[in-house]
Amino acid sequence: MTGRKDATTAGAALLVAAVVGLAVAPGLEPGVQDLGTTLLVYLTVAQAWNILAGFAGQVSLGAAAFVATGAYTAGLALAHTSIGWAAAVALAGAIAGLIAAMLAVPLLRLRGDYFTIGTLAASIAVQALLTNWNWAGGASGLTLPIDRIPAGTTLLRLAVVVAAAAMGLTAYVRYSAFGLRLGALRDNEPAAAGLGVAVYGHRFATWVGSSVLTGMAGAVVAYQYVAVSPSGVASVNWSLDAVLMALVGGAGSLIGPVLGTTIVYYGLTRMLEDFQVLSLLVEGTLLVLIVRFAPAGVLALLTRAARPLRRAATLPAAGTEPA
Amino acid sequence: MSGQLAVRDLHKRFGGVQALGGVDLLVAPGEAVAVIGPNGAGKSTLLKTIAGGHRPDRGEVWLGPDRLDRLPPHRITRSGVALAHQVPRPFPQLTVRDNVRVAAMARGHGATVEQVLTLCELDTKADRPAASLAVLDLKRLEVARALATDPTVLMLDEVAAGLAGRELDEAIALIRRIHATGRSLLLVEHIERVVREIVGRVLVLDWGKPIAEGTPDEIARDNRVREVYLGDGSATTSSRRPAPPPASEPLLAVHGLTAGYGDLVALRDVSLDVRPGEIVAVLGANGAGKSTLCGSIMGAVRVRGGSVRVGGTEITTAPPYRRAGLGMAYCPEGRRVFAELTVRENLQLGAPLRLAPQQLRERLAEVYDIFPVLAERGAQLAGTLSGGQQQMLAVGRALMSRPRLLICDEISLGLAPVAVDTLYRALTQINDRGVAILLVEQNVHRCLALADRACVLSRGRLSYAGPAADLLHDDRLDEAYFGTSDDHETTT
Repeated sequence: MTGRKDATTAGAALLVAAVVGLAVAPGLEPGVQDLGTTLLVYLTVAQAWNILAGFAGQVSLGAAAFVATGAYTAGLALAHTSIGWAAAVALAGAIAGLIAAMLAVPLLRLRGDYFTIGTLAASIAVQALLTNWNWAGGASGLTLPIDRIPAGTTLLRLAVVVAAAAMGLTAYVRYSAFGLRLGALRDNEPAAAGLGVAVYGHRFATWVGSSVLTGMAGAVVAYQYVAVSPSGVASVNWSLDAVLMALVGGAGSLIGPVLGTTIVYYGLTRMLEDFQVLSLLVEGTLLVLIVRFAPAGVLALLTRAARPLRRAATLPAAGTEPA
Repeated sequence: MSGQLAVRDLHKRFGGVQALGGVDLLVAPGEAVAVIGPNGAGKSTLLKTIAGGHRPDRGEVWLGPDRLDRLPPHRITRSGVALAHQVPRPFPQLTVRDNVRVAAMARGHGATVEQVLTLCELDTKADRPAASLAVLDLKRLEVARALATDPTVLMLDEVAAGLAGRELDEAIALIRRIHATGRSLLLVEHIERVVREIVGRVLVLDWGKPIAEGTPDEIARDNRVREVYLGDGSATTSSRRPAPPPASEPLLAVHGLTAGYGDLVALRDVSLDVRPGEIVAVLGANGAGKSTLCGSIMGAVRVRGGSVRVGGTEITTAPPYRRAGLGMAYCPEGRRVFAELTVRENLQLGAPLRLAPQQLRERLAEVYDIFPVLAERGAQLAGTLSGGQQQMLAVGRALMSRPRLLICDEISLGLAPVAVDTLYRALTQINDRGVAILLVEQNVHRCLALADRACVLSRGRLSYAGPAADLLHDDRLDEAYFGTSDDHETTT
């Protein structure tokens, strides 16, 4: 079958990258470690969105709900129980998955734009719930016990592991029969069902899996910021950034979100850190331009520029005019 | 591979329409059965209900010892029943091979993918994205995917529709090869040849109920069947009118037209004209450029070279809404009625915006005069009409602007002969009122019987222009349709 070799190569490259990340982490400046952690968190959230939207066609605007779920789960667990930070990350993923499974009951009845609006509504509802949940600090949120959370090298290593999990899951989706079925249901759901694809099961698994990853990223965010609040971790910006980063790089590909995260973070988020409104404006414009002129993202532009000959060979042949 | 397909007392209702009213059907292992009937008889609904796309209101579907009618669609497929739809539904972003692989996973027989691709003659295109396939290959892919699920019963919904000549031969040969592997076949088909050459037994549906069952020959002799399915049999005779005076100024003049999409040139240097009151046929195989020609005339496709003039006004680059004001009306391929609006509302939308109520009533009356069935169904949602009725509505809607020129794109596509008869009689009436008609068709003989003049497009070029009657004895038609028409490989 095609792709087996590619899959092995991708898996090996991923493993090497993760090991290198873990190995070089201690030697880096604290500022670089922090930057690395931030980028890897964004990568995880973008890749989780990519699995859901890029591969399975389920366009979500609900990433913020699971970043918040993960961050609050980790924060509350460390503040009120004696479990360790690593267990708290696992718990964050589990609770995010559980919430996703519950939200699946109403949300997975919806399709297309309705699903998107539904996920946005769910994320706004989560933000409102957290704002009014006094035990968890209400609008001002909560502060994590500083002596029990990882920082510096350990935090960066945690981010590497979480991002590697996201990349690994994406690679699985990219090269497996499961992922192929997702592509089929993305392209035409009734036809996929008619060919034996268990549509609901595939949508459910993708939705929950993506949410678990996002929840684990949320725990890392909580450790990095030390304090979590509804306006921070449940901000719709998380959802928008995920969409932007995945789309700019190239949704539906393994490497696209890696490129996109880097481009968007360096090109926009950092440069415009002090100009919040301008940043939104520029991000919005970029999103429109990408969707209009490069719907397959920067990765596709690069591939096309690099392989003009191969492109000519795969051009659609004549006879493809709309009948 | 065994198991008898048994359908018992199947009922399905959509809103006010009883699509299936108690259908019983047995398909023995390895048998091939065809379901025929006029448009709206419930044929596609029957197949979709068996496949799980619709849930039956009443009745049962069994395959061997398994009851299927309560299962979700993917479980039905895994149980051994697959459906190739009338309108192909490819996964456009996946390659042809991956399209088939998805299907092959249904029952865990991944090894058959290459065999299926070869059998369906898609092996040379396996690595292309499905979005790049032409119509015939899309149909092959639809069949290939259904076949790849390794079905005990393969259901084919009009897979030969829109094919002619060699393409039709190939489609029949493909179905036969599939049948030879021992699978049961259940076909819905309008094309008599396909039915006669493949199946041993025919079930005739009308208004959701079986009205006859037997061998193809028995069915062909059954008078009741002839009546519902073929109309009264005399309908195909045409009433040829004297040609309009040739001296008159052309209503539509297309000169040296070139148009295309992206890298593809779909139309090269095409010239034709339509004089007032005349019927001009445009013929050609799939992909010949017929729809592009319509699109260029109506402004939906950007013209690269040449000119289009209507009543002496140059409109080559005019926006579509301005063209509508010049006395042209367009009846697009695939009907395109507004499904969520009523029949009357659809018609109203075809009329100019500011029209006095009295005038609107007059125009509605004119349309109802030509299509009485639309008057009966004025308050019904257009989406609930049968295919033939929707086509009538589409023509009626075009007439509401009182055009001098009516452009019809493939109005007989996918319709039962009796519905086509009705439409062609209506076209004659419309033409009798002085409306010129540009008739784009695949249905050659029907179209030529009606038209004064004809043009043949073959792969984007005009290969014939002249009296319609002469074309029936001209090789050019054969050449345009059958000679090189299956050659979709030519890259520009």
